[in-house]
Amino acid sequence: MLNCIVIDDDRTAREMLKQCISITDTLCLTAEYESAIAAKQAADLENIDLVFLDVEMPMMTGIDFMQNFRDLPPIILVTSKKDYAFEGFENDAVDFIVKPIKYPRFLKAVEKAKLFKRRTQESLASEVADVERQHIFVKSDQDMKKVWVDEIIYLEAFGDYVRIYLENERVTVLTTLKGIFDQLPIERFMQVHRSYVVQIEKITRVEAGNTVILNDQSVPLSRSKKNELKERIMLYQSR
Amino acid sequence: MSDSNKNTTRMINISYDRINQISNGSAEFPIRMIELYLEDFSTYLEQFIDAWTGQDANEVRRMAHKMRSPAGTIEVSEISTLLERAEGIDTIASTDTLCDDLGAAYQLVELQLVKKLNDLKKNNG
Repeated sequence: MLNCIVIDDDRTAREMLKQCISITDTLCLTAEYESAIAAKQAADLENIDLVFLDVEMPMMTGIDFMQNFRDLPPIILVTSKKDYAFEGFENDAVDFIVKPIKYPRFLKAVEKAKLFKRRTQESLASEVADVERQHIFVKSDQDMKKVWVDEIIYLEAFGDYVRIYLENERVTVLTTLKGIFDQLPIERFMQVHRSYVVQIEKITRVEAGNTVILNDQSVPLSRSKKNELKERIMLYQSR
Repeated sequence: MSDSNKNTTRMINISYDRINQISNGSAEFPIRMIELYLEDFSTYLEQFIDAWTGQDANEVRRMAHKMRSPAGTIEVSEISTLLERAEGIDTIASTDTLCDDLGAAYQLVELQLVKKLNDLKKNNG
């Protein structure tokens, strides 16, 4: 359901829009305003999903309204003049309806607004996910490589190198095991052997013969680490 | 038949399709829209005539634009055509009958709308 408001100085147009909104299941009219100024002063725009906005209004036009205020909800311009279409789209209007309003065209604009809202939500969710997703940079050959923490299965030290086993590849880095382990979130990783660090989430089995299985790959488990690993797995499960 | 008699018996084509399309079975909605039209359009028309008489082309254009929305909602193509012309006007020639034509057309529309309104109210009980 989209919460919407109507801003139009013409009563007839407001009545038409209100009626169109009332017969559309996915819309809910929360308020109507005779001017853009009144809307800005009174409307709780943060809780509005859609604005039906007239262009030619006294004191402040619909275009002024769009240009002067930030973080506005999606806007459908509703006007008698087609000439404003370009300016409207330049100012990020979702759609543009020419008066007198025809219901099928109204519905089409509402569908566009719904699509716009869905895309915005998806884009925000993706941004949030990216921010929450952690990564480290490691030096591999001469390059700096970004490694997503959630893709790491385990680390293996050999000589002066560490091999990072990821879901789809292996990366070899000239560093110490501690050098990488220190960069990783401590609650997610554990050193199970002097040469191995594992991501707890990736463990599929801990075998009696002191072996940890991760994605069908086995890693040795030090006898001294066995109890700690059990506790860490329990702790991880309880999260 | 005199010109004035001819005028009063002339019918102007009015379409209620746009209103009926969204009335969704509501008897009140068409009544409300006709009442609004009658109230607003007559007020706007007075302002239009004042602007015309004062040779204020800017105000004529502004009022014509304002009147187009109600004129299109209750579809009166004759009035819409006159308003469209008024919206494009640069200067007001003394010989131009646009304002008189608009006033005369509205008189007829008003009569028809009042009759329609009464019928709707009667049917609505």
